Amino acid sequence: MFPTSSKLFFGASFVAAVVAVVHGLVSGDVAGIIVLSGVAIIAAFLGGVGAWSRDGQAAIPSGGVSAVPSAAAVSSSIWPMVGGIAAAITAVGLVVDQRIFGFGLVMLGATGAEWMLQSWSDRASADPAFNAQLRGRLGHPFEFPVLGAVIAGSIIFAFSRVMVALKEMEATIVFSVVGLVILLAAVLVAMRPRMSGRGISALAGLGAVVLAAGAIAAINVGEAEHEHKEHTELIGNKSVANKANTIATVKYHEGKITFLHDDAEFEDLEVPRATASNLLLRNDSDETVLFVFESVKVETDAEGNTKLVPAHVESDPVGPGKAKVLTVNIPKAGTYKLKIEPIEGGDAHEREVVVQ
Amino acid sequence: MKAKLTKAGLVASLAVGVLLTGCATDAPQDTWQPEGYYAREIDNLQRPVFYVAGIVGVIVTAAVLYCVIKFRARAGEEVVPHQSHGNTKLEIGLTLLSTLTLVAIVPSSVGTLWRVTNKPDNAMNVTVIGQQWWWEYQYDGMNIVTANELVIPEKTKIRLRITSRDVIHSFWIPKLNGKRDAVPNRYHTLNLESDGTGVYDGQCTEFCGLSHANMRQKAVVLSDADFKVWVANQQQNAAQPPAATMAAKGEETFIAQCVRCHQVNGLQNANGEPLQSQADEQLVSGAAPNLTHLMSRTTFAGGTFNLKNEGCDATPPGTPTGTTLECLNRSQLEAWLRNAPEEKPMYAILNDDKKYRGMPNLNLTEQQIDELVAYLATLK
Repeated sequence: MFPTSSKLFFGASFVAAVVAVVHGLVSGDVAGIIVLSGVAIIAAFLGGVGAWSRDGQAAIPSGGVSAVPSAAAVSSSIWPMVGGIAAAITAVGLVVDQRIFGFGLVMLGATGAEWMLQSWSDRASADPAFNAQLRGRLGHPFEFPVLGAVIAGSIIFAFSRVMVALKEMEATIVFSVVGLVILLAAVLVAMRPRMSGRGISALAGLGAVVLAAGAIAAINVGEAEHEHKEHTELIGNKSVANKANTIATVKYHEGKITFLHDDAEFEDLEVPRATASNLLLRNDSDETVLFVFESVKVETDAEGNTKLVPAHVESDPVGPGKAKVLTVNIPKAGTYKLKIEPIEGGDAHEREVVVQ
Repeated sequence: MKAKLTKAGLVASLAVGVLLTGCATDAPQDTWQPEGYYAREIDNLQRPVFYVAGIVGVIVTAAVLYCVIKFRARAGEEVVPHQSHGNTKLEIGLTLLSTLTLVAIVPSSVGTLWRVTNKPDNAMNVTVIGQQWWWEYQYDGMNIVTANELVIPEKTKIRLRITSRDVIHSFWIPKLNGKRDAVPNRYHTLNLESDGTGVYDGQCTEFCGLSHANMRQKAVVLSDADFKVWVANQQQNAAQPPAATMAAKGEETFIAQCVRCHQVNGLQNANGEPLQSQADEQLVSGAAPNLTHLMSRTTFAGGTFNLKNEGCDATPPGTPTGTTLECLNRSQLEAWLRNAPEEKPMYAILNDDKKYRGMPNLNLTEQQIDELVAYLATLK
């Protein structure tokens, strides 16, 4: 009914009109509305001209249709319409958002490639089945991976939206149920090997609709607020990794500093020289403190001469009941000081650390 | 036919030869000859597992060989044999059997893991530090720092805390326990215990650079009484050699050349001030072996070379283990002092930070080498 050229323009006009309305409602940007409406009107006008003049169907020979060689039965094509939509999205992107513009460009490129492929294969022979096969052989190696990636990306995106909208317990329940449903569906399909492709498609389609609906609902709900874990730091420091990582735990409690390893208290803290060693600092007092390690370090002057200078390594403030890791690396053997300094002032406490 | 038989005979001889290597009874790093509680725990687990796995392996190999020979294509045979897919009963049976075997192993495997890794009560703690290409041991609460030879008392639980100063190494004394990685900025624990006195070899088992194969260690296990003597000796500072002797001149060379990296406790400069090594300014790892009691050891250079000649049993006075002047492998020690990188592969050239990996060539004269050897021989 409509020639190819008019399909393209009508598609572009439709999308531009819809976006103009949405853009107007959302942003109230008059300039954008005028541009988009103009695009819609011009595209509709050009589409109308194309349909009226049937310019796209030109070149019918004087001998009538029967004189045309029976080369190809050209299949109906959606690409003009898609191309129009892509062009419109690109134009909209120019006004609204750079990412939409980029998406429009990609869509335009893909449409052009598909359109060319379709046109070429439609005219390859007089046999539509052969033409379709030919098109598939060339197009499928590109189309299937891209389509697969798009579908996988969409599923991941949809799932991620649902996940961020749920709280921890809700997420556990929802995804347990979802996993169970997927398992049951798979069992159903496996137990009915003669199930028609249409049935499987219907199942998959149903799943896609549910997922899309869930994602849309989740986007509307927004991200869930998670309860802030007050004691994450301390819990984290009790992990196996951190236990393995430390040479000792330094505990500060009621003005007393004690050294622990493997949960046993010991008298002298000995640290190997020139070896990066982590101390786990545990503040069991009710005041915020700094752990300070006073040792030495080597400094090199402009002439390349080295000298030992005092080094002062301190932790971030450690609140009551909290713990932090302090890494020390003392180049020279000797006896050094580990100090506890209350942030609010007050007496500092110290113990000796032997570097061997 | 004859050629085929010759080939088969050759292959069989090689296979038997390889198998026979497993019969060695004096292999120094044989995991099948445990000499302590922890190694025996591992052995008690791995033997039954190995036997079961070995039987399964033999059955599978025999079945494959039988099928390959019995059903091989013969000359002139063009008929394609009957093709079949699977045997449900057999597959389920084999899967169940494998699963049950694994399930049976789990309790003993987990139990062994716990027994081998749990912190023992009243253990002696030793910090073990790996660096290219030697090991350092620091005995907690004893003020002892030594290298390469881990001296421990018999029938005593030892708790090692293992770390590294440069790259990843791995500590392993096969007859006393499994291996444990030494990772920079981490402390991993490993338990050791020996049934009796003896010397047990080990080596680094994580590729750590050019001389990885030459990064060896020993566990020297002493009786309780001997261990106490050893500790008392290790806690002493090095004695100053008598004035105007060759050893005294060697000490001067040591102060001029070697203190840059090596620590000798008790060594003083002309003003009577204690000298401290500056290995952190010279070496990538930041440390070199403490030589205060070099002669209480039997090897040097990361356990690569014998300090003590083989077959010589004498030990220095005041220490139950070590090397006397008569037993000293003088030629090897001199060669090391003459040009260390030629004896053991090392990156002994200055890097961008003007630091070495390993000991560089110090370009010592023969006179200096003789004097240094005389001085080192006094470090008992």
